[in-house]
Amino acid sequence: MKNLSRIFFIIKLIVFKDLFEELKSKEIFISIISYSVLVLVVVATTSSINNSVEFFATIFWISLSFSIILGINKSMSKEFENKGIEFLITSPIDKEVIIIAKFISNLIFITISSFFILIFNNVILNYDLFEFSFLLLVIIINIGFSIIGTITYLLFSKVRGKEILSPMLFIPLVTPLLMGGSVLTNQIIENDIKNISWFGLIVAYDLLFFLIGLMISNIIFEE
Amino acid sequence: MDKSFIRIENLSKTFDEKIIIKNLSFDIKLGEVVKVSGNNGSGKSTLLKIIARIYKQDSGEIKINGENISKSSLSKSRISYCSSDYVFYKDLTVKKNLIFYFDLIGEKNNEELYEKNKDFLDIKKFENAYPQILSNGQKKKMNLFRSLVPSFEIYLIDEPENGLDDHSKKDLDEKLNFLSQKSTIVYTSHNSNSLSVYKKTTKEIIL
Repeated sequence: MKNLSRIFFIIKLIVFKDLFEELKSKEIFISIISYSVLVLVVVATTSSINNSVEFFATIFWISLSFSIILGINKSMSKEFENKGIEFLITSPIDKEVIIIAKFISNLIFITISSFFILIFNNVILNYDLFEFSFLLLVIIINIGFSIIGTITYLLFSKVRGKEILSPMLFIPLVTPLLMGGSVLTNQIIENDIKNISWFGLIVAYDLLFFLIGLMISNIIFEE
Repeated sequence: MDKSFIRIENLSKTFDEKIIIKNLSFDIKLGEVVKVSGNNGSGKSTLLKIIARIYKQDSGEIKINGENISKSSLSKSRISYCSSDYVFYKDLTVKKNLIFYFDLIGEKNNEELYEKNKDFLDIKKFENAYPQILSNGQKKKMNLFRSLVPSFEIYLIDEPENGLDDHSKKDLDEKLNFLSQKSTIVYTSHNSNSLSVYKKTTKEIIL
């Protein structure tokens, strides 16, 4: 029990350190929000079919996923600057704890950014989605985005061209989340949730990648 | 003092099909000062990193006090590793970097520990600076401070005196002499005469 509280304490420390750094630079928030809003503005001004629900759901999740991978790459590359990640690896703490802390930090960054993106969505595409079921959906999908984005970055962290390779693996891996997100968004907007099982599938997918992350943490943190 | 404290058995490590360490075995007793020597690229740093559980060995076992370190997270908390690279967070000041580290390793009175020791290696002179503007010598001091100030049972130090001025070497020497009274020190160095603590070396592992 004492060990568990120590693990939570270390995770909290790393997450707070990440938040402190981000509040100072605001680089991650700016990159996620500006990219996503840019896509929404372009879509809203160039497309004539932007009043369809399916179109909104698709464009929302696509813009979110592309901007999120940008944000996660930014967040992780900051960790690698000046060997910051080695600061943690060379500390007497377990690598599984480090990867969980990075999942949580990235989740916080992308979830805060998602709420700003939702506000811009409300203004630009005129869909008000500030309701419990949709916010829950955003959070469970963001958990998957954060876990998969962190793993894909770490997998390619020692490779030249990681900025390109990481999204190339991220997008196919998050496709099931995007499919579930689009289906459920349509149903939430139409106030007719038929496939509740999609929620279960998304949670299971998040859990699967969480376990994969823990299992490979020893490999991906090694030079 | 007779009992083996750290036991390495048939340790092997390969990087990209290149054998770095092959079937290495040795024992270290509690309180020993041990030198790991060898040419550049012979695997000295790799060995320290394996003992610190930063790298995983391909085969072989490492036991600390009879406990297999790859099966216990407790062993890791007994080891302090000082890298020869400079590791820090650029958005945190020197002081914040060090206090963050003390927090991570579970030091309860981290501020007090810092304040009590900030004369060591003259850290107080640049405690409010951001690490990226520091000289390599100052970054090295930061590394040594974070690894040597808290209490551990085992200190693994990669080239401790490298890049330090004479005054700081004296400071470091005093610290290592003090630590060697209670703890086990394993170090790598290319200069055997630069610190007096090296005279306490009881064993040399040649790679």
